[in-house]
Amino acid sequence: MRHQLSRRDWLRLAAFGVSGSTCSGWLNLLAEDAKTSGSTKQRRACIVLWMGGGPSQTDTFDLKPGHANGGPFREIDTSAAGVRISEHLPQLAKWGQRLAVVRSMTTKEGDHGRATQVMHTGYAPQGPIQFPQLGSLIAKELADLDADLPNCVSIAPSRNVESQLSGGFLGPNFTPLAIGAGDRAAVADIPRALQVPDLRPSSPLSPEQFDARLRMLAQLDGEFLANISGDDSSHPSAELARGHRAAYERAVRLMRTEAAQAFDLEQESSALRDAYGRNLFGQGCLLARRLIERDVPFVEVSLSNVGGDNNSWDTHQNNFERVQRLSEILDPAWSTLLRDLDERGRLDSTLVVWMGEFGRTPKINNNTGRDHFPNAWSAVLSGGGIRGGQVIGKTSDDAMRVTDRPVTCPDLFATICKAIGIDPRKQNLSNVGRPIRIADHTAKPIDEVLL
Amino acid sequence: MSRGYCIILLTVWLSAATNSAIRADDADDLAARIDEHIAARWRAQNVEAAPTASDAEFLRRAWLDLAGRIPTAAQTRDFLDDSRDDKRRRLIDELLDSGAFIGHFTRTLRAAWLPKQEGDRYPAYAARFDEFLRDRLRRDVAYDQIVRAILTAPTDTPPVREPTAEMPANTRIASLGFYEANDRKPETITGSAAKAFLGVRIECAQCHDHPFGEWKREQFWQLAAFFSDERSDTLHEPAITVPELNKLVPARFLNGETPRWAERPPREVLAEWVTSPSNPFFAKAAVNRVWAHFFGVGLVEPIEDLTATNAPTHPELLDDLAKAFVEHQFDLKFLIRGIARSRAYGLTSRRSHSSQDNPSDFARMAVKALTAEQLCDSLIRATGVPPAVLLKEARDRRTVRDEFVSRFESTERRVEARTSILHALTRMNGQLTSAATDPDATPLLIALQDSPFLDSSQRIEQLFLATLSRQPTSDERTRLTEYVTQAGANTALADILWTLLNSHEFAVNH
Repeated sequence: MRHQLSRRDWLRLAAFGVSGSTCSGWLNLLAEDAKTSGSTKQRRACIVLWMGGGPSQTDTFDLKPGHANGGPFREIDTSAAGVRISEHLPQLAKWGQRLAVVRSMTTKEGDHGRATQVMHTGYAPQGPIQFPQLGSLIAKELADLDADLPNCVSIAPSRNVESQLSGGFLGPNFTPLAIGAGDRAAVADIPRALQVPDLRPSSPLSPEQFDARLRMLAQLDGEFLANISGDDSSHPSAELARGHRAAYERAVRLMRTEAAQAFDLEQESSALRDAYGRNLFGQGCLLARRLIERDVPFVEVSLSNVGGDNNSWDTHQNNFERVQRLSEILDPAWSTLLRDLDERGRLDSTLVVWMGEFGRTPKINNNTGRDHFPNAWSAVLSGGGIRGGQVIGKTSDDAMRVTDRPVTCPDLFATICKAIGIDPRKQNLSNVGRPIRIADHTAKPIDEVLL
Repeated sequence: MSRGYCIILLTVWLSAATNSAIRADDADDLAARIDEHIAARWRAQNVEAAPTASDAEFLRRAWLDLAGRIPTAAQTRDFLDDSRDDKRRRLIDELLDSGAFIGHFTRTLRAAWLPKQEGDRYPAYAARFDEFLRDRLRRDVAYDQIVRAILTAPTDTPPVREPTAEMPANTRIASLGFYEANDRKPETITGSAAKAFLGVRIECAQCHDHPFGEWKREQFWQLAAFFSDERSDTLHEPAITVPELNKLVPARFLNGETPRWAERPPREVLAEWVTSPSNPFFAKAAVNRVWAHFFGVGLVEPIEDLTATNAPTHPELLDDLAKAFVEHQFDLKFLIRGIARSRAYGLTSRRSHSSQDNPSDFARMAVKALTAEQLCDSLIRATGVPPAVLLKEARDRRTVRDEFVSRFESTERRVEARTSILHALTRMNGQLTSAATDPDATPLLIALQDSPFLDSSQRIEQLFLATLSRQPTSDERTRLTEYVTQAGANTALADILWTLLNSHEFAVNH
């Protein structure tokens, strides 16, 4: 199939042309063209609900009633036979038929930083390789480079997550945009926390004046880049300079187009906003839906704090009270998100993933808490691209071990990819010259879960 | 060594009037050795090193690395006009003696040592820890003594939010901070302390043996035992219960050695081992960190990962630096002086040959992104934005300065730190930029308007000196003077200032 690149396309290419990295080639533009031309099929997307701190599986999706490790929470039925979850997730239980609960996650990292890194990039850290995070990898496959909205967004990231927010070797065009970071304590004005800050100049400026400034800036930056790089622009300092240009270009686009309207939650009905929950996570999920609707391929929403300190999923103390509170925030947000996507016809093409960096110890400690536990934990796949209403894998009665169908991080990543139509074996060129697959080569997707 | 010897003679002659003559010799000696090792690798790798940086480059670099911000336009002019041969050396010495150095290194060490936390308690810990660091740096306390004080801080006092006058001095200053930021939990403190002071990433051994066999789980908990209140049954040694295994593990040094307790508090015994001249990690970790501060890249990378499998690029240089640091009683200023006086530190960052592309060859200076504080403070210094603006409330009881700094904060390595869309928006449209580019309010712009004896070209020059610490090129001068003529002086100067403040050049240390 032949495609004509319009003049507009060439101009756009020229704007990105300095990049030099894989995203700006004309082949890519043709590929994008091919993906969307003539298709009324919806763009696929992925939302990750990130439970920073490591959520307790024994008190959410893999309860052990009757065992000493079980704790006080009861199990309830969901709308899917054979899938039973915590009593504190009653609204989610009504969506049982769209949930695939993976109870046999098994990983190796028990340190927050490392585990967060592994569960975001799919790889353990290896020296100088700048692994991109999952969102960037997905964005690269599914994004429309022409779009004004960033292709990868992370909402209310915790510090551990924020330090992961990089497109890695995919380059600056796939850098996640962080919204609502730094607003982790009880936030007074949530809609404002989820807006893109500084979209308009603080003091009024005519468009002509702004344009004149941008032209001077482009010239100054161009000269600096030339000075620093000599006759070759593929080394780190030049990368930084190009990244600078790319960020400014994207920022100006956000300023000048309707794109930033996506972040205006006041456009939604009060009833809907209530349904999601008037907290950072609930409203963050609503924002995620709006972004998905506008064809942003990847959004992460973090629930790592319920306002104030010591309220993340990292429940070394006072586990049950805290998990209950967190569940009471998670439940309406997630279930409303599924409903909202469904009502807008987006659920079948949007995968919603629930996970943290690890699980928690089955044995309850002296502080009524549970500690870090990567041996056997749970993740949940919901929404589009998967066969819901089932449980994958099993843990022992005391929850200490996986007894059936272990799932590693690469396995999970491969499954996520396939559910949204991406080949996990696809390779990208890394910053050390080695091609690296989206998911590690040992990855085996969970076929039972895929449609 | 003959070049080194000549330098020593020259230095003795030049510094006869100063009372630090002996120390100056040794710093020059260290600088010479640094250059020898660096040059040896250039020869081995067939590297054609970049030439020395221009005065303007060096000035800005030294200010940012030592004082945490750019120089003023007047300071820039003075330095550029100074015809003395030893002006760079004097600059280093002056900056090392300045209050700005203390502030900058307080922030630098705190950022390196204090783990960031969720929640809103971090600013309180950081402020407390800063007080402590500032006090020690002001008194030129040796590096090993600073680390000792942290490791042996009296933590038996209960956690306190606000210090009161009645609390004893060192409780108020040292004990909050490092321990609070690590949740006062032995396992968290251990990982943090090992990383910060020994350059050893042992925290992943908390749950399992290190993937490459470096550290065993047992070793992690043996180290954690030093921070524990538990005691072993038989020998009453400090010990800690490993969760899940329910095993009580006694305190041991990383090399497996049993400490000689002699009735001393466990953390004192630990501090002695950590800061000992014979500890294989302590001095190396310290000099590696300081090296990375100036060069952007450590001799070992990642800088907090000094393991057998992670070899230094210049092993003899690392050994020499560590040895010299120990021999000079862990004197930080001596170490910094030696590094800053090296030829390697003074190379330009402009690339002139393809053999300069490996950052670990140090064949040209790496370009480092400014930290959030450096960016903020440089912007303020350049334009004269008054404190009242910075302390204005932006939202949620955070000031304009707080917001700005938190927007730009990053844990990325400075040589890799990327500009984000949010950074671009804040630099273009934010309140601080508005205050800094207002023809009716910004001190720099008002001063230029009020100087009728300056023509457009000279005003443009002043803007460049204030922000980029250099003269405009003749091209820039011509182009921008024409812009001023067309657009009208007041608005044009504000536009040019905005451009300079938003440039990539302004936001990096090259």
